[in-house]
Amino acid sequence: MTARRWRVRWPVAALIVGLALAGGSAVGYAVTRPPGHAYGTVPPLGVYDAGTGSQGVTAAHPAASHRSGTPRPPAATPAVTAVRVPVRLLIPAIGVNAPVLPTGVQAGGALAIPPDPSDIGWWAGGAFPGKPTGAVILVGHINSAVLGPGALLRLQDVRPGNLVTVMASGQTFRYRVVALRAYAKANLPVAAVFGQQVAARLVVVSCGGAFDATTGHYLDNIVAYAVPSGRAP
Amino acid sequence: MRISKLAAASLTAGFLALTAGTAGATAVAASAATGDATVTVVHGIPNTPVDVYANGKKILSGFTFKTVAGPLQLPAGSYVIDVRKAGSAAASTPVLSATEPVTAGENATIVAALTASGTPVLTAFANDTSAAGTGDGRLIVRHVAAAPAVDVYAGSSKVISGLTSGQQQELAVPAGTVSAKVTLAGQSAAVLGPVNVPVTAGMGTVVYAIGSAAGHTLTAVTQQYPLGGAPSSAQAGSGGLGADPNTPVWPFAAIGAAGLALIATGAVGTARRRRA
Repeated sequence: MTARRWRVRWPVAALIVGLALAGGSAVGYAVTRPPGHAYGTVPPLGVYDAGTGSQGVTAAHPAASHRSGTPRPPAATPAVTAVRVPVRLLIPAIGVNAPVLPTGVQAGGALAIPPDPSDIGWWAGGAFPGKPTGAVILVGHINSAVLGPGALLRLQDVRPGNLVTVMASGQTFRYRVVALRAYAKANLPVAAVFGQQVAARLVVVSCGGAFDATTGHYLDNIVAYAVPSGRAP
Repeated sequence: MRISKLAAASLTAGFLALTAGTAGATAVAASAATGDATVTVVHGIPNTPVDVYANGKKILSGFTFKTVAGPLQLPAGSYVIDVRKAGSAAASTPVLSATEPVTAGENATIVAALTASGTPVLTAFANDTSAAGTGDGRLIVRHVAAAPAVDVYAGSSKVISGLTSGQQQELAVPAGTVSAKVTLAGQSAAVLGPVNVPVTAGMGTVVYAIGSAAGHTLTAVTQQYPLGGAPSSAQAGSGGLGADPNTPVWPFAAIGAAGLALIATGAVGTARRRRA
């Protein structure tokens, strides 16, 4: 009789205990894992169109009608702009005062980062400070396993309102942080972070979040978005 | 700027330049999005300060030998480039003139230089912006000097042989510093260098041999430009320092797995009971 009653109940008991353990462990992990980093509002994609007042993806210049090999007629007054190459980044709120070096993109799409973790890289294929549209992309190490703390060790502590200064071609360009985000690298919103079809912005990228000791890399990118502060450079 | 423009520019000055190793498929850089091209201008003619005009507008003033100007961004289109002696009237006859079509997103360099025989020439080079491998840069040597064919050494190894004036050659090089030396082809004495050339991952480094061997003005100038298209990732840390406090996953995973095992056992037990 007791044996029979046990036979009736053990699968049900196993199911209940199993559900409790599985659900409980998931909830337990969720509540004890570190919080994400999300402050402020990321400026929208698209270039502000003064003509229509609308925010949309608009080319800064009329779409090039010509294709390779069929040059357009000469521009009467060429708008030649000297690229202002950033040389130094300052974010006083988190103690950043670091040299900036131009950098490019490697096969596979990874932005190259200066080998010395105390240097910041500027994507030379993107916008430069003072350009009316586009994103100035700066990237720096949180740290290096070999060389120690990086210039952007504390990027995750930056907050909306913090001042960012970029020195370029003897001029000072001021920005205000408007948002901070942590993105899983596997789900990086590439257009928001690196896209150039945007109103003038500064995007500072580093790493952060949990550290995967098996790969030697962080799981997240920490991204600070800033906009020109409005003060004359 | 395609290869044909190189010919167009050079023909203007009566000199047919040849380029070796210029990639035909130039990766489109981010500036393509805004319809701009990126142009750098190199001055390689000794003792000749000049003003440079684009479509009649002076873009460089008092531009001197050994100077690298730019990068400049300008809308895609066709440009008449005029080079006049510094301080000359804008309407005066240019020393050099060429028509340069530039396309959106391309990266090009215009060099005012000397041919092997010492004739001033305007030469346009398309800068190969295709991505290099991880950790690599690209080293490009351009011989734009009044000098015979040369060999180029990196350290003690000869990496380029018989490069003639007007030609270029590309090398994929790991990031670091290259000690570069130029000799006349087949000889061992350096006519230029050794000079330390920085090679940066993700960047193209161009070394220009400029000046005149006969005039003892041979020298080198360098230019760097970004490789690759738009970035899609950034790997900016390799040590755990600065990480969020890690919540170990395995205890939760173990408990969860035990739970799932119990669920499975219970389900199997239930099914057996029903069959029985």
